[in-house]
Amino acid sequence: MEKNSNEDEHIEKLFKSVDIPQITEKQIESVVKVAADYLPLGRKHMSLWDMAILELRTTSIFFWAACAALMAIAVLFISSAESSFSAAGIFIVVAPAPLLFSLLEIMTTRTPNVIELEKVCKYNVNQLYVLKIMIGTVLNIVVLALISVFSLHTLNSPLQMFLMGSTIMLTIGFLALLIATTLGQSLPVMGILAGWTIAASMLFDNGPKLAMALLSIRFTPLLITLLVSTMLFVLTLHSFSHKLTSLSLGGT
Amino acid sequence: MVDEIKLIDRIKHGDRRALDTLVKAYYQNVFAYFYYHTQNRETAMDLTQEVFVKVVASIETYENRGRFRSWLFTICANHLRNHWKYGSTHDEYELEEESEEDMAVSWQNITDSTDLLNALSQISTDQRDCVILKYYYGFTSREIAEMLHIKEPTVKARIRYGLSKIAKLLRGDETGGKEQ
Repeated sequence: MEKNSNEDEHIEKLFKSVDIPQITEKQIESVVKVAADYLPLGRKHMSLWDMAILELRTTSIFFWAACAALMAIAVLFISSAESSFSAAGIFIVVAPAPLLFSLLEIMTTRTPNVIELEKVCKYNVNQLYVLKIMIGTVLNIVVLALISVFSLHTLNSPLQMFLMGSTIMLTIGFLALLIATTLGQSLPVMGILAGWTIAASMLFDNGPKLAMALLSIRFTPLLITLLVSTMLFVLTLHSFSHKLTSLSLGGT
Repeated sequence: MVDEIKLIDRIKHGDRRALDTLVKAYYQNVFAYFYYHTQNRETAMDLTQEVFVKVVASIETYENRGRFRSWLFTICANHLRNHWKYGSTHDEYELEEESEEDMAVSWQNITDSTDLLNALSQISTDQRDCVILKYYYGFTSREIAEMLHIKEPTVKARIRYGLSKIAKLLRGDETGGKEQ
């Protein structure tokens, strides 16, 4: 406990003597009335499915456009790739992009106070953000599956590529969430997206041996890596959702 | 004194009367916080209402650890930051470098609080927040540091600089150096 000096006490008295307008009981009661709509039992119950639909509806058009463009470009490039090796390279480069787009969307569009209030008040904010990222993850898997299907004739082993893409997505997602949780800013997440694109492109352009080794990983080790990256991703997703709550509401 | 833990438990179970008691107990306190910052009755009332809505909406996440009052004012501080950031324009003042000698301004001769609000409006938001939380609400520097997610020495420095500037303004030593 801090000890107050005489001067501190004098300043305190001065502050407390400031004339603050008094609010009538009627006006305070109107606040109670508004706040009562948000009492836990009075909140609208929503199923997970309804919440997912709500989240999909509130996702920005730029996110959908970016995912669609990414998928179209990937399929186009993979189809016209000179070798299955180049096709795999393109697949690996784009693998984590939709999830990172979704993370960026969450971090950059949750700003206006009204939207924040609306979401915080009606539903549990933790569930909302976890759900948003889960939607991003599922969407990423769908995009990878679609690219695999559309590129069946070019990709050597589509199932293995799909598993590899999912593992990369979850690992990069884990790193992005870890950084987002630590720094609480969207810029480093953009950095990860850019950094991964450059690093993966360079890997396939300049380091064929390393890239080939990566592509020759067998099914079982690939599955184990996928499981490990899934666990890491889920754990960081959990701490990210709590960090978001403390950032927006504080102290809880 | 209201038994806060029981009251909050009742609110968690949807008790409207408990909510009524809690809001009435803290309304004027929260309102004063926003009034000190905005010096506008209507804006302060709007912000107060939004804070109580946030409190009720997130009451399930309150875990009875620490004082409810600290939790409440953490929400107020975050809400105010959002308000300045997205909701409105306000003047921001740069932290001026001052020597220890410059800051050694005595408050003992200052007895009139009439211009205090005006002087408060001429220091930075961060300084104002720390000064208000300490001198109006009686929070310790450590509590303020936890509430604002900053380090304790930063809180102390903000209070020192803020008080020094307010004292000078109240004594008419300077005009405040408001940025245009």
